[in-house]
Amino acid sequence: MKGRPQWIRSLRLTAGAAIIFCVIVGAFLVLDNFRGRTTRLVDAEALAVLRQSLLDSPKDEAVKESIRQLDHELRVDYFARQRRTRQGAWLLLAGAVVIIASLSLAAGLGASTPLPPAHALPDVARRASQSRWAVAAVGAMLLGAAFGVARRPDLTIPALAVTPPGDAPVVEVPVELRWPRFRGPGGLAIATGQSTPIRFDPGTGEKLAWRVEIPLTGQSSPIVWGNQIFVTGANSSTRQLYSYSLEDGKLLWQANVIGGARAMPENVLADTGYAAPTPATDGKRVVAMFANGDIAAFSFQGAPLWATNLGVPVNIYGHAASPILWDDLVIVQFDQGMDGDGSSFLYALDAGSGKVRWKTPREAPNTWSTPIIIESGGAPQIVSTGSPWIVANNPTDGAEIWKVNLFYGEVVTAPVFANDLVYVASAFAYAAAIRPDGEGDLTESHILWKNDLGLPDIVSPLCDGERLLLCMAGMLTCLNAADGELLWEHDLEGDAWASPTMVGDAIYLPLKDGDLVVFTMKDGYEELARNPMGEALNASIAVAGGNILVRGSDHLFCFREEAP
Amino acid sequence: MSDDRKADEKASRREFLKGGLRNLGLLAAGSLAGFAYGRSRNDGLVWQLDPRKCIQCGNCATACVLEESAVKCVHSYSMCGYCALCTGYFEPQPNALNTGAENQLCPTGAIERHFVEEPYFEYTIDEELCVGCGKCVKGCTMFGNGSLYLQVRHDRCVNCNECSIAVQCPAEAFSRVPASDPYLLKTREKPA
Amino acid sequence: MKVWGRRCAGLAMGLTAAWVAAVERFPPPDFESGHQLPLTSTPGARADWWQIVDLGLLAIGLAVATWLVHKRRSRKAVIVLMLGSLLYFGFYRAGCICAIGSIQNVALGLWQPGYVVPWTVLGFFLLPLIVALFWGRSFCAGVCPHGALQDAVLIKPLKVPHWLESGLRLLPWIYLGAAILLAATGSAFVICRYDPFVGIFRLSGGRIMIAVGVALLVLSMFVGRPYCRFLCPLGALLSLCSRFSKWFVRITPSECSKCRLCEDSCPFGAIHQPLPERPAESRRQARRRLGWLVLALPALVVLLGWAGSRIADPLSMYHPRVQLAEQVRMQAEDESLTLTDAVDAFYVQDGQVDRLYQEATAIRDGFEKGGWWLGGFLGLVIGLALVQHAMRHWREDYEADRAHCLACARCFDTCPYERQRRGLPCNPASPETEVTA
Repeated sequence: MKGRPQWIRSLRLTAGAAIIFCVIVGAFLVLDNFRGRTTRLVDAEALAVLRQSLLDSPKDEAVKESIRQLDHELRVDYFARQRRTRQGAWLLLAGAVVIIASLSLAAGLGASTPLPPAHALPDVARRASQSRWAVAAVGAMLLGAAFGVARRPDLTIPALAVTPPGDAPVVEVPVELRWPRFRGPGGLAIATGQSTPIRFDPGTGEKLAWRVEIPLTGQSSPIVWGNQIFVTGANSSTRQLYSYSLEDGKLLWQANVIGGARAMPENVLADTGYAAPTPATDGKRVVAMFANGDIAAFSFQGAPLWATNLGVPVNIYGHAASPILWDDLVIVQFDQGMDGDGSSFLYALDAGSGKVRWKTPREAPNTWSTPIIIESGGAPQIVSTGSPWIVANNPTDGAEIWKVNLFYGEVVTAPVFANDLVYVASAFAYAAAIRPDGEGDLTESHILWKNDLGLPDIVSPLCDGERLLLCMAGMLTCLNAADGELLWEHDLEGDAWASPTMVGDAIYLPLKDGDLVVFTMKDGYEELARNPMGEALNASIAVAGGNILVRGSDHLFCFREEAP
Repeated sequence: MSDDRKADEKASRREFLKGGLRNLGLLAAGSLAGFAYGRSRNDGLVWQLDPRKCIQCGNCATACVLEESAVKCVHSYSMCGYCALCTGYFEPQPNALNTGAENQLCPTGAIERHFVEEPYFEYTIDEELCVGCGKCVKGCTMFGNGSLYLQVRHDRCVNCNECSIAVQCPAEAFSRVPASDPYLLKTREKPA
Repeated sequence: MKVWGRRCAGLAMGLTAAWVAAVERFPPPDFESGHQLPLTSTPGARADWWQIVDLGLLAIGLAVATWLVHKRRSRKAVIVLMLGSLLYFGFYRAGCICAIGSIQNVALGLWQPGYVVPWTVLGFFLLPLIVALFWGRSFCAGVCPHGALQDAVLIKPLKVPHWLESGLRLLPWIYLGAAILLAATGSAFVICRYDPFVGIFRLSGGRIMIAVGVALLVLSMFVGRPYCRFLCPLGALLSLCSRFSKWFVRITPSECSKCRLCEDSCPFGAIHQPLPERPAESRRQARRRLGWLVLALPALVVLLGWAGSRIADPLSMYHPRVQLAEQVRMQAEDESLTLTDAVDAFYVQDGQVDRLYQEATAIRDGFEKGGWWLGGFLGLVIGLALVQHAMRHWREDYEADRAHCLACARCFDTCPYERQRRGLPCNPASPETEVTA
């Protein structure tokens, strides 16, 4: 009994020491943890900076060495901290056990036999009354909370666009002033009855009618209806449609597109960009599409008619297929995802409202090609390329008419139509001519010819009826359209991503490095001109009323003969 | 005396009432048990994430209640292309195709790269090092075959009643699966 | 980035000329060297029979706790059992087979047909309640790791004023109601999400979780079991069952001499003092008040029901679909907002805004209905609490409060009869021990 006070004191001392120990360990853990935040392993900034500098100077061994060193330090630090945290937690727990045990023991030792309380018995009635008030107070607080929280606005679908003003009449313009879609009328990339300049130079001003800077970049090509040019541009946050005057290049209007998607696809390559699809018009309205699946229609005065979203495309480089218009339908080849995941569709939207009229599933992974509409046996067909099928659909209901198993891998090139034949060509597969007058799988029966010469990966083919022109990485290959025999080959010494366009006999092909090559293919390759534009060219040209419209990385150029 | 009896009566009445309510409680528990048992299952449920829904946001590395996340990268070797330029292993623009830290995507160096035969390389995951950040998964899913993906590792998961990663998962990829079949593994799709 | 694209295309061509129907971007190779593919390891989940061990230990723990409290009447033995539970259910099982959390699984199983309650979870929910119907809160006494943790650190209990205690005892009911609503709608398991101690059991966890847990533990050193008394939703259910228990914890082993020795021994405010005399205020007044309160009960139910329907809307934000819809809507209204991962994932995966809004609106309607039920239930709880505090229970002896006694066995040692029975020194002959009432 005598030893008790000493025991109690030493127990309390132990507890005190343990408390100090716990505080120190705890503080260390907290500090360690906060320091850890600044040197997060997973997104270490210093490492990112070093990696960027290695990209700038890939041969620099010193940068490599410092990356390796920093990486090592970060990893060592990360795992060491993890270990410290684990050990620290155990130490804290042990300290807590000591504190509690010694304090409890001290309390037990210090306890004497129980004594009755010194205070008087409480007044039960008063206590009950107080309790009632306390309970009532809790109830009042609950009620107060109900008043305090404001109701959130009900979820309603946000108004996406102005209500459609009904069908607008077609703005009648001469045929030569119509370049209504990617690669012009019918997607054939052939302009007739016009005389366009061969040799021009924005540097010297030769044949240059005007030049304007386009606010936002895009890989899409210009289109023309009458005196109006339409061009799209976008970045990761804004999508715009511009209308320029063909006459003088004046910006008539520009409109923002808000189609309903607020997500941007993640893996849009800078080379594809957010505005790769070329807009389209049918003389009643302009339809523009963007990398996030937004589609919007505008009147020729720039008023938004409708906007919708087909879902953010799952596309490894970014969506690039252009919409086309046919009989008040907006046709979109919406190929995405992996093969067999069922996410690819051919859409037909009502051009007046944007509502889906029909959609047909497509057996294709993501592609980048734009369909064409042809007529076979008096009936229209939508012909589209994909991997592996070339497919023709009935535009009125989307039903599949025929298909041909021909392609492989990533399909970028569009089909062309001449001599009542569909011509297709894509890298790693074939160039071929297909008779579109059958039904079902025509792979075995309707391929007129096929071979694997000069297969293009990005540039779509061009056919003048006698010859089929292909371009792969700057290598031109000209095949006989009748039997696929090789006519000639020529190395342009410059890569092209844009597709060729033919005016009369002259073929215009923009090269990536900024030269616009003009040549003929009748009797072998004959270069007419190599016009330097001074900026990168990835868009195909548009031709209207004797004007050549060239979209560069920054500018829109217009060249014409009668220019001063 | 009569007061006493009154008190006794009152007490017995209260006892009777209590007994009734107790039986009511038992009945409620019983019917609940019966109803729930009719729908209950023998095997337990555990958490798993669906790699097809995963968007590789990186939360798995940080949201787990464990210091070292229970979510790790797994590799379905049968789906792997054994590429020399593995987009799950290498930075998007690798300086060289070697094991230098400047070329590797994995922040902890948890992927090992072995030469198999020309031109194939095998990639294996060192689970001790993997933190479940999903960087390699993103590279492999976007540009490769998607053979690298995240899974809850059940030797580590403590199977919280409410998984704290699931709460934070933006893609709602987490769900409960039977403990007897606790993985959602990717397998090679049959070539057509 | 394009580097990848082009290289991939080149590779694909180089390797797979003959492989036509593309499934993968790069076809898995056929190794000429006969290289064997490694297996993807899939370490199994905890074996099912461990669940039987868990449930068995729970049953044994409940039986032992009941026996220790009712027959052995030993605080020391209860402490040993408690620490054992703390070690197994707390630290070893990391707090995650838990009777408290099981409420939510049962609620989810009852209201959402898609979820099936594992029978062990059902057992964890029902066993403590059934035991409470007969013997009181044995679960709280010796089996619950949460209780054990707080009980173990309780060193210097301070008395919570009676009125405050009465008010705070309503919080578990509110928590219970809200947790059931949120679980039944498939929104969240808030009891688990905001559990203060699970981070301590695991020695890891989010910063806030750990900070709250440590703060609550420090509070537990001075206030007896604050979580159990003022938050625990299972505690609310157990207190209800315990009210009707057949046998209950008795402070004295034989008879009560009203010596007041036990009066302050309960750190949880769960000892009723005797009420032998007529209270100061008139019986008539008390009766009239009781009458009014009983009449007010339905009004309270309706009033709070309405309040609940108003709170339901913000509560619905716990549901992931509603949360997502709300984020999508905010994003749609203000394009300058940075995209959240969730909105991003939504547009990438599905992107059907109409459907999402419809779903979210349906969930909100469910919440509105549930809000009426929740509010009405809380109105009933508050009304009954008022009625209870207006009723006078005639009582001769010191008795444990059936609802709120946690059966910790602390008061036993203060009773002179108990000390006599156990041969402990008692009633020291000092003048202060005179009854001074």
